[in-house]
Amino acid sequence: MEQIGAAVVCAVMAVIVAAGYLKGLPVFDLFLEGAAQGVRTAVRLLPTLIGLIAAISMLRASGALELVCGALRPVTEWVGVNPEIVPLALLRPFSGSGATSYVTELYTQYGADSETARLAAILASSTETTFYAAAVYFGGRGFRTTRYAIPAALCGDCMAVVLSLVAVQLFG
Amino acid sequence: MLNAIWAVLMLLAVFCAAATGNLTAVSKAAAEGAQSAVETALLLAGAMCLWLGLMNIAAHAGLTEKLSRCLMPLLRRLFPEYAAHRAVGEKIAMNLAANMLGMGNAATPLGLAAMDEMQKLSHSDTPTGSMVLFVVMNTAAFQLLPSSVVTLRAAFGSENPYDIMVHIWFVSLGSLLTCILVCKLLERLQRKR
Repeated sequence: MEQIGAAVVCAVMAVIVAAGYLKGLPVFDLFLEGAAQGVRTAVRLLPTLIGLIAAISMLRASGALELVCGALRPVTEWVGVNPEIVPLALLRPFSGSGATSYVTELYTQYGADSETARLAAILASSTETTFYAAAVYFGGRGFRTTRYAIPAALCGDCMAVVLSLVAVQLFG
Repeated sequence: MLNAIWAVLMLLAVFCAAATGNLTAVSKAAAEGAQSAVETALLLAGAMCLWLGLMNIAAHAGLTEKLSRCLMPLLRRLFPEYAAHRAVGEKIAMNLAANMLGMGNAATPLGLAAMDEMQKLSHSDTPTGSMVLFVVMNTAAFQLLPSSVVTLRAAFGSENPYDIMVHIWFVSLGSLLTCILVCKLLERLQRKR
């Protein structure tokens, strides 16, 4: 199980470079062009991350998260997960960078290979920022309603929470 | 969206700190959080550049088109109204292929173009079932290479940062299928009414 991911990553890299090179494309020039775009994205992301990670660190230090998690403890204990997963599940549909910030806090707190951190990583990367995507695609198009889009998308998000727990049980 | 979330997070932290007497810890956490954000952004930047570079090669080598062509038969069943409209079907397929490859930057303009085409055909200010399904599929995330999570885990000292990829495929595919099923079900229910 552990080797599959690494093998796929290497295979994809090889396929991309081989396909480009065999087509006679200037592969390294194209690589640089794409990578430069990555630098711009990272720079644009930086202020957002600073704002959100600072806010989440403050929230943890203030004890507010512990209050919320403490209130939820009976439920999470029954399911058998760390209550600190709950804020992540609630944050994820609203903000991708917020969720990333929260996950890195959990890495620092518990270690990247801890059960909590793994569950958080799986949950955070298995769903998209639901409300953001809905706003991008429906926004500015002059629709009167979004019909059943939001309930259906949130069903998917809830299923992701359940399946994350199943996956950790199933695959270790 | 973020304006409201951020304001709530910040104010909640300060009020709670004042109530529990944690003000020193919170002011320290603000500075430390800002600092660790810069580190996180730098950690992410490396992998993001690597994959965006590789994906730029993939796009020019026509791999996105190949993947989208593989998706076509499946999409024809999901979006039967557009089986006859090649332009719409192709844009939908390209958007989903770009999403699967983790090319969010390329996926959004393609997706918006697909929405515009679908709206042109429907002449309505109510989204069609296919449009709703398309947006909902974009709120789920099936990714072949969840590269940013792998990078961050590696940076935070994981022994085998790739060991959650199978989990992520399983969960994201299950969530995507749930989205599709619920959409089709709700569409049928609404049509009956």
